[in-house]
Amino acid sequence: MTIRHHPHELHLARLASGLLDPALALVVQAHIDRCPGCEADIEVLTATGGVLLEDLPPAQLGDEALARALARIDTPEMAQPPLPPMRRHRIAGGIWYRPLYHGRDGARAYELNVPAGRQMPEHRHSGQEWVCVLHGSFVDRTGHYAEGDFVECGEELEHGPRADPDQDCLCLIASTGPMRMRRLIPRAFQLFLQL
Amino acid sequence: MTIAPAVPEVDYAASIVAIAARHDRTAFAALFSHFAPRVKTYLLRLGASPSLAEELAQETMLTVWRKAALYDPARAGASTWIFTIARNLRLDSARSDKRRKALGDTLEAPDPEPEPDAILAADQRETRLRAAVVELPPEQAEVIRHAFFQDKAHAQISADLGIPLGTVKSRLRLAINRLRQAMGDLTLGDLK
Repeated sequence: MTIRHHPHELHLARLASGLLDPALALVVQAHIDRCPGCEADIEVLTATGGVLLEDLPPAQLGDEALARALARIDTPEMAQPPLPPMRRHRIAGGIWYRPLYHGRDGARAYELNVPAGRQMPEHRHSGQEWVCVLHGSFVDRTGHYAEGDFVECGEELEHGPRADPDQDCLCLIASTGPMRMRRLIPRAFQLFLQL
Repeated sequence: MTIAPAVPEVDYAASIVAIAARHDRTAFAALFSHFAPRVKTYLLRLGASPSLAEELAQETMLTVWRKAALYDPARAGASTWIFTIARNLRLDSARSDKRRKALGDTLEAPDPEPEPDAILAADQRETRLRAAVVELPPEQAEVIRHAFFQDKAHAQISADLGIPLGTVKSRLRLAINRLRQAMGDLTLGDLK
């Protein structure tokens, strides 16, 4: 497997430093999990974050901050209840999505599965849309993308990605604004617009 | 602002190990006094409100206490480990759905008995990285400073530095490669 499309350096630096929107961060992380080169970049950038942390001027803490922390370390940690698994939502024609993340600012991350050979309706995005191919491959007017590839779709891009005919294509997608369909919208896709 | 990270005088990695080994409160207090105010500054730079930054700095240090046994001094320096905890807590705090990932999932368990050699090697890697950060050419140090700890759009970074975005990226690439080489995990053949 050769990954040909990588997130650029500023995205990596923003991920390492904690500046990247968490929905977008999930997509970059999915790429890094499959790309040893970018993983090594993140490792060194994170270590650089540690070095720079030491160099930051100390902020004024609230009154008795250490005393409060020492009081809290004796309190046993609340066990987190196990999270229910996220449900798949069927859209139409074998296409399904599974929501993974919903940010306070409206950004979302979700998995989207498109059956082999099927095409998504032509659409645009009203914000950033970042994609990492988790399985299979797809093609749109900008190129061909396979497992591990990172794809950034800007607001100006109108596309109707089509899964390659040999297998389903599963992608992790983050968007900071809703999708905008070009043509008459199938009713099932109206629900999808809520993404 | 210049990048001139002070070499830490206290062995903070040993403090975390002491917390894991014997719930050492004195070691915790030393870590807290050094790191909590800096973690708060970091969180403020990411755009957190003062009250959120204060609370997340507290949570970061509580996590250091609770997860100290997961800290592997052979793999990361104390400041890198604490930085990672603070960063992940900040990411979690942005979720609206409260599906917070247990932090234990993102902190991998250490090797059972890290070899003294491995700890020393990790220490040396960190020292080399620290030196390399200080010695970055000014134009590379500048893009690192702007990419880290300043919540600015890419176009704003480009405008502030007065160079095209492509140049920002290529300088960042040069800096990353230089730092990777300093840490010893990159030979020239691997360069992107």
